[in-house]
Amino acid sequence: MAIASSDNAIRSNKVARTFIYLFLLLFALFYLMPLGIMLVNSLKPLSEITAGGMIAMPNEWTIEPWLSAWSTAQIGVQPTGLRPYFINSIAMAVPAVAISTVAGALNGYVLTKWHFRGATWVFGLLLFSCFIPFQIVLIPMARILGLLEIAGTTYGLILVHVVYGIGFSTLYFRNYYAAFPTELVRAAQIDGAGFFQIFWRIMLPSSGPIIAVCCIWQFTNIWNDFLFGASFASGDAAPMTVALNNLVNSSTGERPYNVHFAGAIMAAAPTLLVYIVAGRYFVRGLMAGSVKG
Amino acid sequence: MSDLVLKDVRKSYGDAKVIHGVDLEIRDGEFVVFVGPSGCGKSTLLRMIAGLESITGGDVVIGGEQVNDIAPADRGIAMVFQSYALYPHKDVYGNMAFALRHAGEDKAVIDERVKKAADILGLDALLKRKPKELSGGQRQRVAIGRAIVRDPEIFLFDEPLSNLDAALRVQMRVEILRLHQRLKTTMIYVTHDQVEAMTLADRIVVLRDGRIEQVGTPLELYHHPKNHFVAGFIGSPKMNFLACDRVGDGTQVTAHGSAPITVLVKPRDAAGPFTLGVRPEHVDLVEPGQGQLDGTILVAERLGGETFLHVDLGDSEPFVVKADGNVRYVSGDPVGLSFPSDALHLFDANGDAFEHVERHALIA
Repeated sequence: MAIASSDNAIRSNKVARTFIYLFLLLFALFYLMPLGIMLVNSLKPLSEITAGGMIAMPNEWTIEPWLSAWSTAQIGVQPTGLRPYFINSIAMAVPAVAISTVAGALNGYVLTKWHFRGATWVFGLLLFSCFIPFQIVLIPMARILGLLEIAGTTYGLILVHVVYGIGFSTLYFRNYYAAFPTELVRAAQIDGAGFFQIFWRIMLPSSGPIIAVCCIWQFTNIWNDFLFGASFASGDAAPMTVALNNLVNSSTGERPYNVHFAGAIMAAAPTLLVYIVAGRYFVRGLMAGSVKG
Repeated sequence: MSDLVLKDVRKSYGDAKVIHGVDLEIRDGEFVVFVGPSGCGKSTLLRMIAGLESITGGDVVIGGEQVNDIAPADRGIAMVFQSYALYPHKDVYGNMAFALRHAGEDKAVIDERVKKAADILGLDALLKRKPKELSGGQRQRVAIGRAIVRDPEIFLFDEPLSNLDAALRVQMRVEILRLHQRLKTTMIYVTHDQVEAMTLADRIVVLRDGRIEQVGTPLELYHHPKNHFVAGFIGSPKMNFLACDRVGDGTQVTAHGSAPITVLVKPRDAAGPFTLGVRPEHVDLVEPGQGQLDGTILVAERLGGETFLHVDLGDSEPFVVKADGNVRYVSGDPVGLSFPSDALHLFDANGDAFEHVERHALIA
């Protein structure tokens, strides 16, 4: 009896497992489909797309659309390809991510380990900035960038993204450091370390997971931003997202869909890469922050 | 010269006063334990000495120098924390060397001092380990080692054994005591555990609500508590308290309508109601009717070597008697209690103790 029933349990388990994997496979395919179609169409000549074969595999494989999107396609009036704008985006996202992360870490450190009058209020206000819609600040921000004479430049975009990013990065680091033992800071004080030395030598070396979370979050947001890019950095300083839009909208005559697909993948590639490379740190960091509390 | 003097030290957070003017002198080489219930301000006082808390009023003087505004690292102190507070990303060596490296000390000097401290504490084999690879006792040893390496004038311990299990706590207690005998450095130790206080201290400072209740050697506090609070705090199981009336010339009392009980104290004018204090170990068990008070056994807690008898005298709390492990009493037995008059304590309405006629033989 006992053997039969355990046998039964294993069999029903197998059936359940088969269904689970089937469903997972189905959903994975469903979510991968758009990317798959983009990839397939970016690798076939335009004639095959206009002939109506969107889903079919290419008869003739070509990387011509990729080369075109990268270096020769018409962006606005210039046939520069997406390359300079890709570089713009890197030049914007990397410093903006770095500065907002370090600033957030510093804020979190001060808010949790160096209590001062009104700390809760300061944190509340910083948190509030996470909920301000981008559209509201467009005009005042444009005025400020104008006054600072960095309107229309990558520096201007860095500033905007740092300002907007600090709210979130502070939230991350404050919550992480709230669970960080204060006695460590006190011990370092007795050992003679000062404010910044404690930050660099005690806090940051223990902040790996939350730094990963913060960097991924900020990078994704900043790289994918279109509104600020379109508003504050037109022309040569435009980021990738804006350039992609210009690529798609500025073609004359026949629309080179294959080039558009290639450009879209290029624009999405860095964030995809970040998730693939650091995704597990992201999950781990989120867990570390929440479970410890 | 590393005498520590606290002069009318005060601390308040906004309107909340935490420390109400503490005066204390600690001599060079002394082992002093701050003890008191949670929230009595003992840890705050220690952190004020360390320089981790600002001083609202009064002076902290170390070795003749007022240090109120001197940074913790420059006060010549080292501190051991309850949570060990080891730097998680540094190995044992790195933890112990941190302060010296920070001070820009020579590499050879650092190496020598870390090795010496590791030798004292038996950490030689663990120098390359990270804190997470150590047991609780080893971590605590590293934390102590980190303090030794700094060669401080005063060691501060903030409940260092609270996170250890009972067996390890006893072992570390002895190690700390031997460390003090070896280094002969001033040590200030905070705990809420009165056994730690009694066993470690040259002198105990009993604190309550930010005030010093009494300062004295362990036996002084045990035999001559100044007041009701200290009497109840020192000793385990704690002292029994009975409401009583003074009769005769003031050195005899009756409690629960008992026969007169003689208490060997100096009589003085004081307002009642009075309280008689009797330690569980200072009661003799006799046949019912033979002692000054009779009661009924509620519970007998048998620990093997000794038995704690909880006796019902009609109060809300039972009267605890510490008896031999072989007594035959069981729940419900009637019992007589006899009080030897030289070990009794009498307190007035303010909780102040009456002075004993004679000092205890072990106290100079």
